[in-house]
Amino acid sequence: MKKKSQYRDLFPGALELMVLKTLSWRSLHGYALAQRLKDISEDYLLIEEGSLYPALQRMLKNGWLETEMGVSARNRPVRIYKVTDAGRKHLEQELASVEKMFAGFNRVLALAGE
Amino acid sequence: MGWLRQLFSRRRRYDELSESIREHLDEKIADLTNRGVTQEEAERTARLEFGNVTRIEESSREVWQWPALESLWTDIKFALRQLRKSPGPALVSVLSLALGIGATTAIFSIVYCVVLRPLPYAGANRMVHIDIFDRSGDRGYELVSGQQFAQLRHVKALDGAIAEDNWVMTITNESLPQAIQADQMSGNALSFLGIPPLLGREFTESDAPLGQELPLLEKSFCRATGCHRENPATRSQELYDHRRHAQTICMERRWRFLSKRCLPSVGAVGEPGVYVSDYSQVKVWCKHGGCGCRASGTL
Repeated sequence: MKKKSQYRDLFPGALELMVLKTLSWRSLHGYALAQRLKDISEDYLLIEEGSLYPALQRMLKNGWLETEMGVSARNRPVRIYKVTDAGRKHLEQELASVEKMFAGFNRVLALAGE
Repeated sequence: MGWLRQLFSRRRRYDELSESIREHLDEKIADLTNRGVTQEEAERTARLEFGNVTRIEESSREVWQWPALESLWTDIKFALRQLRKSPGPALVSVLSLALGIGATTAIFSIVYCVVLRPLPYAGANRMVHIDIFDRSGDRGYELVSGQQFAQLRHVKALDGAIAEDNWVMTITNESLPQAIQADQMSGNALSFLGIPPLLGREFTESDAPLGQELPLLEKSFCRATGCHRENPATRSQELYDHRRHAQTICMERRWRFLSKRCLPSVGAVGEPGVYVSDYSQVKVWCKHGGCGCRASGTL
């Protein structure tokens, strides 16, 4: 898929953060997760479906996620991704850190020209 | 032990990853066909939007791997397969490698021995040789007198100093006199250099006060003259123009002459074989106190 000029690269860890936040709302399988991210980002962000899987593997390795077998909306057997306690803790820390970063970023943008 | 558990669970992780991607594509294809897209078009669109499955699987697997190490292992396995498949070129490669390594090792051994080999003395990296220049800046043959050397030894910046000089002596115990290159050193030389003798005891300054001499023989010289089998004291009396000596000290071969980059050997003029402690006009070697210090003194 060709990258459109209006899309910006995400900062490192942004995808993991969005995945953790989405899965903390509800455990989902891979395709449902991709669809959910696509729907709620309303095309503001370009999240390639394939790029989810390396990120999911990193999070599994770090113990932030775990998988279990479940069924999809079409009643197919699928692997469901769930956030672990360690994942929730990491999410809280990362959200606090990102909010702080954006607060600083917005402040600089607002006051830099004055 | 997490890495060990990770190592053994990788196969299961890889299988789960492949299954997850397959489920993803199946779900997407089903979703598209539900919207009225043909099966063929749905499969094409699903793969197109997902991206290169093989590449994505590989990059996902890398999370569980040690890429550099495993890439090396893969290369080694591939190389071994190729070697087994084509033994002829493999033999040529191995022989070329063996020859290359052997030749390089031989050349380096020679270069190390001739050029690089450090002096085998204690604190060799702190040893410096003091050259004397006259007022016009010429080096010439300016040497230090015994008195000047005694003053230099008291310079606080130095851990120590030794004096040495060389000249040609004659062995007269054989049927024909034989010229040998000898070196004279100050009495503190052995303790300064930190090298024990093979035969006899180390001489000290009390053994060799200013103006007296003691013989110090290099091992090959000992062997050539037989002094290590006979009474060294008796044998040594026949050396050095029949001068009388109290004792003989035999040194290991690797103890090279200070001012030469080659091993000493006996019998050829220009190669030192005998070392004695005496000095009147000498060259000086100093050992400075530590890194960054320069040897200095007033003569």
